[in-house]
Amino acid sequence: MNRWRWMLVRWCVLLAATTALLELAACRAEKGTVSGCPSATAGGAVDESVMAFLSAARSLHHEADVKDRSGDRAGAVASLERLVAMPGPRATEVDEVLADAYGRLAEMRLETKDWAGADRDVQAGLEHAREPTYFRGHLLEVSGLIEEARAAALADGGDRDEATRARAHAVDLFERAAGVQEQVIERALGDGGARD
Amino acid sequence: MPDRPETPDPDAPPSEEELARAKELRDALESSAPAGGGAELARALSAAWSPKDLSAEARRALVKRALAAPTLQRRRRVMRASFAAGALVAIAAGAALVFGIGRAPQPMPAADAYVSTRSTQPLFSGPFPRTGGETARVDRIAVARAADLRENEFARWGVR
Repeated sequence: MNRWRWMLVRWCVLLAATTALLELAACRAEKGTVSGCPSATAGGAVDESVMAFLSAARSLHHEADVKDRSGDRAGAVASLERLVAMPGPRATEVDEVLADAYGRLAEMRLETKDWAGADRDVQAGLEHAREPTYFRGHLLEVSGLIEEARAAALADGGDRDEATRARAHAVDLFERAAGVQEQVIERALGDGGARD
Repeated sequence: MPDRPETPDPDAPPSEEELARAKELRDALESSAPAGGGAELARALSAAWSPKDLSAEARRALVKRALAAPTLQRRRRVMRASFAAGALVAIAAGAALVFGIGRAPQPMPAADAYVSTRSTQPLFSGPFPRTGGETARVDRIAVARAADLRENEFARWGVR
């Protein structure tokens, strides 16, 4: 019986060693991405992985345009959902492009009165735009638009109290959006209006 | 000439000793207990001539013995195969680690000579329109960063 136990221990040790080796190999193979790799850092040089992500994002936005123009709204949404689900390297550009893609998804859902879905996209987008930037300001603005549209729908349905609350929330979100944009402008002017 | 040994009379009645040995043989054939060489041979001949059913106990013992041995062997085979497979996976992972299978493009060292990732906000002159414009924005970002990547490639090749 001891012999079997000893073999089991050896098997577990071998398995653990194999797992560690595979993990290291995977990190090495995916250099440039940061998910799960202890040595990965943000703010590195613009490299092929960043460019590949941006290129894919560009393609998917254009694909969504083509589908949307031909009346395939569901297909356009699917293209953007594919974009936001895409794994990307850790880079500011990637976060900003994702925030913008979530904003566009929210706008599309807003048009179909999918308030909950639109709000979910805005919240997901805000996770990628935590600093005061045009991207964050834009997402807050879209969030305000969602609340504004929801308030109108509630008023049409006769739910005046909830409509009033939604309107107040919309105003608050527009205020926050304007505040973020003001911060961005002030910062830009403080930098002497420097442009890239 | 020596005297020839006396031939026993085949019609003579059995002696006491012969009767006793005949009884022993009869008892041994009826019983399944271990017995001497002559009785074993007689049992084998009897079983070949008119075989009897195995007793339940004997059947159980045979089945148990038959099942025990292969299970042990099978378990050993499974363990050996597991170790072999584990060792192969470890070797493959090590090879992937050393030789960099699926190697990504050569990373660029973080140095001032290279253009770093950063916010794309300076590419835009003001807040975005309320709706739309995302495709134009990603176009602008991709074009700008493509130029940065080109710069970094030149720097890496030492031609800048």
